[in-house]
Amino acid sequence: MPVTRRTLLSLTGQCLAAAAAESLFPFRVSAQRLPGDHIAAPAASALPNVKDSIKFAVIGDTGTGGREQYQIGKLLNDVRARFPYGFVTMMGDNMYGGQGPSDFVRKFETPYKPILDAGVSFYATLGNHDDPAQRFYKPFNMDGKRYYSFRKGDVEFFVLDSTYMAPIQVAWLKDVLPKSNAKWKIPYMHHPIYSSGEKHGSEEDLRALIEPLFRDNGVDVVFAGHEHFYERVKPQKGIFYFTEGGSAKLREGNIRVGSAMTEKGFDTDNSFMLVEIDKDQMFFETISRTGKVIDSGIVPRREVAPAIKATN
Amino acid sequence: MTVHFPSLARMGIVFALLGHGAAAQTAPRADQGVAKRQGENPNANPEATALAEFQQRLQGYLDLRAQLSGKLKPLSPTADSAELAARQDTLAAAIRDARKGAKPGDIIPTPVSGQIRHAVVEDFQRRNPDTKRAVFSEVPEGVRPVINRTMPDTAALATVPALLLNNLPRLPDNLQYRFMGRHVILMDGDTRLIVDYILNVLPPH
Repeated sequence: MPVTRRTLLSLTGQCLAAAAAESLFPFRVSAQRLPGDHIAAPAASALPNVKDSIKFAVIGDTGTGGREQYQIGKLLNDVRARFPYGFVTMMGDNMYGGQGPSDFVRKFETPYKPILDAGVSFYATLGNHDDPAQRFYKPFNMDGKRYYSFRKGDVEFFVLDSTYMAPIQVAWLKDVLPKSNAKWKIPYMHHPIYSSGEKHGSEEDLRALIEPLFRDNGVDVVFAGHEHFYERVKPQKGIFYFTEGGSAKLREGNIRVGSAMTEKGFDTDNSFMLVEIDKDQMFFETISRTGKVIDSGIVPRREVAPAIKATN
Repeated sequence: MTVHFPSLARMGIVFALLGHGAAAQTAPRADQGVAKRQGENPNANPEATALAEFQQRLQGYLDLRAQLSGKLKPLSPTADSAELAARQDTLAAAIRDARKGAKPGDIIPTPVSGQIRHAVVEDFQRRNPDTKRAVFSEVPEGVRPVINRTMPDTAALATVPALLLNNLPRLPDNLQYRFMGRHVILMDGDTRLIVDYILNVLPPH
């Protein structure tokens, strides 16, 4: 049987799921454990943890200042002992409700303090609950821009403002994506263009505008938030779509039952992702608030044909 | 999905109904600029004339803002969230003060508001109930826009559909169209100030 990207992912997922089940005990118990919580970092990992690979975390819809955000923050710090990621990508809704100075402290600086103190950088995107002026907040590394790109080794990230995709932003993406010589081009934004969420669902306007750019310019993976759960969508036109919008908020049971789009969904607890890119493979692991590995796998990079240049 | 561009001819009709027929003497104060332009060049495309006036007013707003910003601490990256909030509030206060008497239509000429209204109505007519519901689900309700007030930071900034944005008159990058109830807001993206608005554009929801 030929091993396709899909079967590789699936087989890896099955093996890792078995390994993860074994690895759930013993838990390393959180020092800040709260009554009724069962928070622990997973003891083993599906990530190869290769020296000099690109390692990062993915969180989304975080800015509640609530207990769940702090618990995920604690786990994010704990996992660094075994997986020393260097930066965190934020999928938007970095701040719900008030956006005053005390909110920045309660909804960002305090829950992630140990990671910030350790020198981990955050790269934010704007969600529909975010004041656009957040782009001037230095720890979000947006450099005053609503949409921007940044590069880490062989990986270039394209951070989009999906709450306001005016033609000027589409033109920017049309310009920068083909010019990038990065091996991996990873866009991320708040709104998923493929989603099985009952509340929101797929952002079809965005899909119509930007999916052709992804498809024609060697994009393999796209991350988003907005839906308050985790979903790995079946590859669409060869591209893998991940939604991680449950790193503080949770919309329990919101993934449409029987959705043909879902490869793996998790809507019963909060979660975050760890990602490692080594050469032509992207390894990922999704971890629940209780420290359980709920999804994992490998996305191989496509053999990319020369980028199709925009014709207009 | 097809991207629809509003027909210029239809826009022209809307323009004619809403403003072009009025002489300079009878045009509302805010539209006298459009009427004057049209009077100076009667053969010009009325839609283009109105859009040119709109662009000039937008530029006027940006110039004013740049002039005020120049006297204040700039809105530039800072790690101090209190400092960021203070800079944002100070700039908003300065703009508010400078535009004390601003009225609806001072930035968006009536013919252009007609174009916007037409584009929005047409956009929502082609949407299915699910996508309409998705758009409306986060529109702040029960509030009436007031020029120089800030959009409440406790409410979500409802996403304006990307294909609709394609069909609206272009804005400079730091000014945005947003929805509030059934109304379309022109919002300053740095201060969240309501710069202008058009009432009752979105279909009832």
